[in-house]
Amino acid sequence: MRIINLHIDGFGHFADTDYGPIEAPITVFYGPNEAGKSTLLAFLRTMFFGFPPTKRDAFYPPLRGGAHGGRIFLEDDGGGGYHVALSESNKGVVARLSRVASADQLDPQALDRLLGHASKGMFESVFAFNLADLEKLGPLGKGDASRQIYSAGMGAAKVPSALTGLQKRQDELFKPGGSNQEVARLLNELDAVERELRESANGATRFADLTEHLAKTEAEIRDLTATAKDVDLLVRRTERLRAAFDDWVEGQALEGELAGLPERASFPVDGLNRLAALEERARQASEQLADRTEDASKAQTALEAGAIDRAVLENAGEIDRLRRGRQGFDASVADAPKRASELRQLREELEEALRGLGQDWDLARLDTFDESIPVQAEINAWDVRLRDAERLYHAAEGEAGQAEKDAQRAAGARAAEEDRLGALEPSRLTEVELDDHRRRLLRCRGLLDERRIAGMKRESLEAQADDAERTIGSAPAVYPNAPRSMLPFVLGGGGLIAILAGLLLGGTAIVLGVLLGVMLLGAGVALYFGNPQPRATQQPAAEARPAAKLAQQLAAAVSAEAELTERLSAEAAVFRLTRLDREAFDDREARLNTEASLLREVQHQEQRLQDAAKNEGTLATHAVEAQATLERLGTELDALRREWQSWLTARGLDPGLMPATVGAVFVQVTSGRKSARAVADAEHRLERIEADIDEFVAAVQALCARLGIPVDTADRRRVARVVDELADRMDEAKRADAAGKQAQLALDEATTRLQRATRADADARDEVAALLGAGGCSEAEEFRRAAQDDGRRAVVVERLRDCNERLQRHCAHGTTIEGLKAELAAADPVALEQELADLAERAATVKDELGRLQQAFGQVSNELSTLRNQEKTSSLRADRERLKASLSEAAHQWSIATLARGLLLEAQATYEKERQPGVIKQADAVFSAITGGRYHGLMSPFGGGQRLTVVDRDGTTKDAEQLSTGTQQALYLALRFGLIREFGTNSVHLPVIVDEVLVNFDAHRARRAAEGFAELSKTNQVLVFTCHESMRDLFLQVAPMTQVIEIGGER
Amino acid sequence: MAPIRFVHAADLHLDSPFVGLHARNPPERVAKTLRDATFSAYDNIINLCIEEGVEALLVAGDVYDGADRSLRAQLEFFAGLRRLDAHGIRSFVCHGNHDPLDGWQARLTAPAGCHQFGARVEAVPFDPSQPERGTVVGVSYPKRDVTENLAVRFRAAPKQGFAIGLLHCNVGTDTGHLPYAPCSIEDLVGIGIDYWALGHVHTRQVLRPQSPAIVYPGNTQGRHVNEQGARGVYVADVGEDGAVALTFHESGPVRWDTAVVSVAGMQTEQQLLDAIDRAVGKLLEAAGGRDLVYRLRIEGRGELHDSVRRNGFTDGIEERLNAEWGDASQFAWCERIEAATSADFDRAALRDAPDFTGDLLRLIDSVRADPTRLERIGSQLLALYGHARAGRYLKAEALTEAELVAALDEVETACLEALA
Repeated sequence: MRIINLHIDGFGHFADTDYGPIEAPITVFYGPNEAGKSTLLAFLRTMFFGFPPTKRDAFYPPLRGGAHGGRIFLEDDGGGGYHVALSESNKGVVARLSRVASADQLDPQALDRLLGHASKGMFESVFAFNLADLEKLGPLGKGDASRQIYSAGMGAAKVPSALTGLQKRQDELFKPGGSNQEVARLLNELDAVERELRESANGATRFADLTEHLAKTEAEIRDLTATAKDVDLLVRRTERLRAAFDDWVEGQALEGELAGLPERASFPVDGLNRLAALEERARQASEQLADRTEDASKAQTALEAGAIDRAVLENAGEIDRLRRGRQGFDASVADAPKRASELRQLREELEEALRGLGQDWDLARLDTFDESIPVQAEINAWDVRLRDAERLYHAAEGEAGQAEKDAQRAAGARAAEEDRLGALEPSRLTEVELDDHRRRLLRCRGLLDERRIAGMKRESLEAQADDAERTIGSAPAVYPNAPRSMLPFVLGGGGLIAILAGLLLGGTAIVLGVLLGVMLLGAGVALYFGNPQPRATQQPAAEARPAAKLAQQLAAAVSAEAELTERLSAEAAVFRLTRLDREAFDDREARLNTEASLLREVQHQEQRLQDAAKNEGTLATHAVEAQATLERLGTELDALRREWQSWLTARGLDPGLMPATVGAVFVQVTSGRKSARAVADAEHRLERIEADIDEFVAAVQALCARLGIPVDTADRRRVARVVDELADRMDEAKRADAAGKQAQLALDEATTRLQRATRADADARDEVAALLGAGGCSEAEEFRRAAQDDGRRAVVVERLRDCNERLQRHCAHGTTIEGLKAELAAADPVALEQELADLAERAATVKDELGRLQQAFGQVSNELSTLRNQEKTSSLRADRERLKASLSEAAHQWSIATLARGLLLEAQATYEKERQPGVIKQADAVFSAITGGRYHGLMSPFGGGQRLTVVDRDGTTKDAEQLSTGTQQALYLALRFGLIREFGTNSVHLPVIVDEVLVNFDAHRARRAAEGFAELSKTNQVLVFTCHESMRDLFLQVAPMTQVIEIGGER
Repeated sequence: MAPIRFVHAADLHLDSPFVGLHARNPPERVAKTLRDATFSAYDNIINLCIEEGVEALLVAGDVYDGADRSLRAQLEFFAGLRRLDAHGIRSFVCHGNHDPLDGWQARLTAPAGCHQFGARVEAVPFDPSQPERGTVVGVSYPKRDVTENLAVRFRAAPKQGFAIGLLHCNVGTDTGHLPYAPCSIEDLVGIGIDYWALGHVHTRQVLRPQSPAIVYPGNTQGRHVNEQGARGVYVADVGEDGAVALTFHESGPVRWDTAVVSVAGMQTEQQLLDAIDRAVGKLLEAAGGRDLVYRLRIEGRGELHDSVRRNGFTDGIEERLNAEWGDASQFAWCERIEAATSADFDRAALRDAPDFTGDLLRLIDSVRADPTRLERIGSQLLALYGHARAGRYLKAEALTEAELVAALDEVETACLEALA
C-alpha cells in the first residue's frame, strides 16, 4: 500500500493543507523543528486508525480552523485507488472509505483489509515510529510484534510453561530425599504394612506355643477328670447305702407281718366291690323287668281299639287325582261361556277386515296373497328408483335456470370491462424500451460519478501544474535568462473554456467541446514542457523531469475526463436531454416511473377483459349443456312411471297406487290374516274346555259306581260336592290306618325290651353266685370277711415290693439287690456318714483343680480361635498389594513426566539452535549490516521471557540490555526491519514512516541504516521525517530517486 | 485296570491378595469377596470333589502364596483336606516355589487320607487298599529356588498300575513364568508316568493329551488383570484302558476382565458413559454370574480426548461405575481406568511441520529408533528405580528397552498435552 496524496482540513497547526502526489520509493518530509513532522505522523496514524476514543477533540485540535480531520488518497499493492476521509466534530466521527474507480463507499472493514489487518499497536510500533520508540524495546514487547519476535505462534510458545508443569508433576511424585512426595508417602505406608505383617508372623509362633500348651492342659484335665469320676463313684455308693438303709429296715418288718397272714390259693380280686356291684345290677334288672311288662300290656290294648274304611283306601289314588282336578273342573265350567262370547266377537272382526280390503277379497285370497319380503324389497326398490329419478329431474331443472342467469351476467361483465379498457390512455413505451431506458439511466449515473472524480483529479493536477509554473517562474537565480512565452497558457486556457462550454451546452456540444478542449489543452502543455523556447542556460535535468511528468499526468487526466464525457453523452442520447447532470437524470427517472405505471395499468385492464370474455364463453356453454340434461331426465322419469303401473296391474292392484300406498294394502292384509288366526285359535280353545269337563264327570261317575254312591252327572255342582265328600272320607281312612300301624310298632318294641330285661335279671343272679363260688363261699357275709384278710395281705405284699424296688434303685450298675442287702446288713449308719464327709471334701478339691484347668484351656482355646479366624493378615497383604500398585502407578507417571521433560529440553535446545523465528533471522542480517558485522547471532532464547541475545565479534554473547544505547537502537531498528519484511511476506506492504530515527547513529551506521531503508523501499513506501539537512542529503545520496517535500513553509 | 477319577488342581495361592488393585475404599462386601477369593475357590474345589465323587484331590504345588504362608491359609487348607477325608477322598499335595518346605508351617495334623510329598521323590499307592490300581509319584521344593530338572528323578521311582506324577515345574522356556524346575516335554515322556499333574503355569493348558497326559490346570483364581477368564481345575477320568478324559471346572468366584472403549466418533461425554455402561454390561454377562473385577481402557483418537485427560475425569467415572455396579448382587468392580486416548490430530502432518512440535515428534521418532539414545533417555529414570528405598519395590519394574519404546507413546501424548 502507498500513500499518494494527503489533505489536512484541520489537524494541529495544519489547515487546508495538501501533500502529494507522493510517488518516489522514499520521500523525505524535510522541515525545521516545530514544522509539524510529529503532527504529520500523528495525522497519518489517525487517518488509518481513527481518533482516540476519549477526548478526541483535544487530540491535535484544528488550531487554524477547518474541520478536524482530512483525507488521504491511497493505492493498494495492486494499483487500486482509495479515498480515506475522516472528520471529527461534536456530533461524532465521520469516516468514509471509497474506491476511486467506482466512487462506491466501502465498509469500515475494507480499511482493515487494506492495512493487512495490522493492529494499531503493531502499526505504530513497527511501521510508524519515532526516535523515542526506538530508544527502548517497549513497543515491540507487546502484542503481535512480541509473538513474531519471541517464537510465539511457531508451536513453541508454551514450551516454558510445559517444562514448568512437567517439573511440578515430577516433584509432586518423587524427589530424591523428599518426604512429602507421593512416592515417599506410599513408601512410608508400605513400611508400616510390612511391619504389621512381620508382627502377624509373630502371631503364628504364638499359635504354635498355644497349641502345645493346650495339648498339655487337655491331658491334665483328662487325668483329673478320671480321679473326679472315681471319687464320685465312691460318694454315690456310700450315699446309696445310706439312702437304702431305711428301706432295708422296713422290708424286714413287712416280711415278718406277711408271714402271720393266712394264705389262700386264689381269691377274686377286688371281691368286695365286685360283689356290691353285682348285687346292685340284680336289683335294677328286676325293676326294669316289671316296667317292660306293663308297657307291652298297654300297646296290645291300643292296637285292638282302631277301625279303618278299607274300600275308600283302595281307591285313594283315584280320589286324590279327582280332588286335584276339581279346581280345574270348576274353572272350566266357569270359563266355557266366556270363551264362546270371545269367539263370536273375533268372527265379526274378521268379516270387517275382509270388507275393508274389497268385495273380491275372501279368506282364500287373504291366505294366498304374496306379501313376502322379496316383494316388499321390490316395492322399496321401485320407491327409491322413482324418487331418485324425480330428484334428479328437479335438480336439473334448477341448474338449467341458474346456468341461464349466470350466462347473462357474464355477458354484462365482459361489456363493462371493454368500456373500462376503452377509457384508459395508451402507454408511449413498450416494456422492453422501458427496461432499456432504466439500464441506460443507471449507467449514466455511474459515468457521471466517474467523470466527477476524474474532474477532481484533473483539478488537482492543474493546481500542481500551476504551482510548478510559479516555482519555475520565481526562480530567476537558478534560471535567470529564461524568457517566458504565454502561448502554452493561452492554448491551455482555451481548451478548458471549450470543455466547460461543451458541458454547459449539453447534447452533442459536450462531445465537440470536450474534444476541442482536450486538443487545445494538450497542445498547450506539450508546448510548455516540450521544447517551447530556447533557454539562456542549461537547466538541471533533475528539475525538468518532474514538470514534464506532471504535464503528462495532467494530459492523461484531461483525456480520461473527456472520454467519460463522450461515453456519457452517447449513453444519454436516447433521452434527448438538454443537460447532463444529476437533476436531469432524476427528472428523467421520474418520467420513466410514470410511464411504467401507465403501462402496468393498461396491461392489467387487458388481462381483466381477457378473463371476462373467457368466463362468458364458459358460462354460455354450461347453460346449453344444463338444458339438454333436463330434457333427458324428463324422458327417463316418464318411462319409469309406466313400468311401475304395469307392475301393479300384474298383481291385481290399482295402477294409481304409489309404492308407499301399496304398503298400506300390505298392512291391511296382514291384519286380516291375524284376525283369521285368532278365530281359529278361539274355536280350538273352546273345544278343549268342553272335553275337559266331560272327562272329569265321567271319572266321578265311574268311581261312585265302584263305591256304590249314587250321583247326578247333569248337576255339575253336585258332582263337585261328591268329589269333596270322597276326599274327606279318604283322609279319615288314612289317619286311622296310620294310628294302627303305630300301635303295632309300640307292641313289638315293648315285647323285645321285656325279653331283654328278663335275660339281664337272670344274668345278674348267675354272676353273684359265680363270685361267691370263686371266693369259696356260699354266703355273701362269709365272702366279705374272707375279702378283708386277702386285702391286708395284698397291701403288705405291695409295700414289700416297693421296698425292694427302692433298694433295687440304690443298687449300683452290675450289683444285685441281694448283694446290696448283704452290704446293708453289714453296714453301720454312723460310719457311712463319716465316710460321706471325707469323700465330699476330696471331690471339692478335685473339682477346684479341674475348674482351674478348664478355665486355662478355655482361654488358650479362645486365643487360638482368634488366631484361626484372624483375617488381618489377609487385609494387610491386600493393602500391601494396593500400595505396590499405587507406587508402581506413581513411578510410571513420574517416568512419563521425566521422559517428557527430558525430550522437551532436548527439542528446545535443537530448536533454539536451528529454528529461530524468521523475524530474528532477518533482523540478524540487518543488525549485522548496520553494525558493520560487529554483532551477529541475534537469538531469542527459550524460557528467558522477552530476552534477546547477540554475539559480539569476540564471540561473547550479550543480552540486548548490555548493549550501548546506539547499538540498542540499531538492534530495535533491525527488529522492525525483520517484522516489516515478515509482515509483507504474509500480508501487504505497508508504508514505513520514521521520525528522526537515525540521529543517534554515527555516520557509518546512519549510512548503512539509510541503505537498509533504501533496500526496504523496494517493497515498502518509506516516508522519512527529519529536520536535519544531513539526513535529507543522506537519503538523497543512498537513494537518488528520493522525493523531498519540505514542510513548514505554508505556516 | 479299574477306572480312576481324581481332581487335578494347582497354584491355589491361598490368602494371596489381588494384585494391582488401587481403587479406593471398596464396599466391605467387595473387599471381603476379593480378600476371600482364593479361599472360596478352594472351598469350591472341595465341594466339587465331594459332588463329583472323585477318589482323590491332587494339588501340584503353590498351595500358599509365600514362604511366610499365613496361618489362616494353612488352617483353611487342612480343614478342606479333613472334609475330603471325612468323605473318604484322599489327597496328594506337593509344594512349589511359593510354599517350599523350608517355609514356616503351623503344627497342624494332616488327615489320615492326605499325603504330603517331601523333598525326595516318593511313590505312594493311589488307593492303599488296592495298590495295583495306581501310583502317585511326587516331590516338593525344599526351598524356593529349585533350578534342577526334578522330572528326571521320577524315572527311578517304583510304580504300579496307572502312574501319576505330581510336580511343580516349568515346562518349556517361554511360559511367562520363572524357570523353576525347568524341563521339556521330551523329559516328561518315557519316564513311566501316565499323567503328569503339573503346577506353576497359571494358564491352563494340556501340553499332551495322552501317553502321557501332560496337564497344567492353571491357577484356581485369577489374581490380576493378566489372569483373565475362567480359572479352575480338571476332573480327570482314567478309563480301564488308561485313556484320560479331562473336564474343566471353574472354581474362581471372581473373574478378571478388561473393557475397552474407544472415543473415536464420540461428541459428548454422555456417549462415552453410555458406551462404558454397555461394555461393563457385556463383561458381566460374559462372567456367567460370577463377580467381576475389570480394568477399563479408554482409547482412540477423538474430540473427547481433552475431557478424558482432564484431571479428575477418570476418577469421576471410576467412582460412578463402582457406585453403580459395585453394590449389585453380582458386582463389577473397576480396579483401574487407563486413559489412553489421543487428541484428534494428524500426527504425520504435525511431524512434518517446520515448527517446534514437528521437531519434537521427529526427535521422539529418532529416539525410538536409536537404542543408544533410548538408553540415555532411560537413564534419567534411575533416580527413582535405583533409589535405595523405592528400588526395593520398583527394581523389578524398571522399564526394559521394549517397555521404554512403548512408553514413548505416552510420553509423546504428555508432551503434546503440555504444549496444547
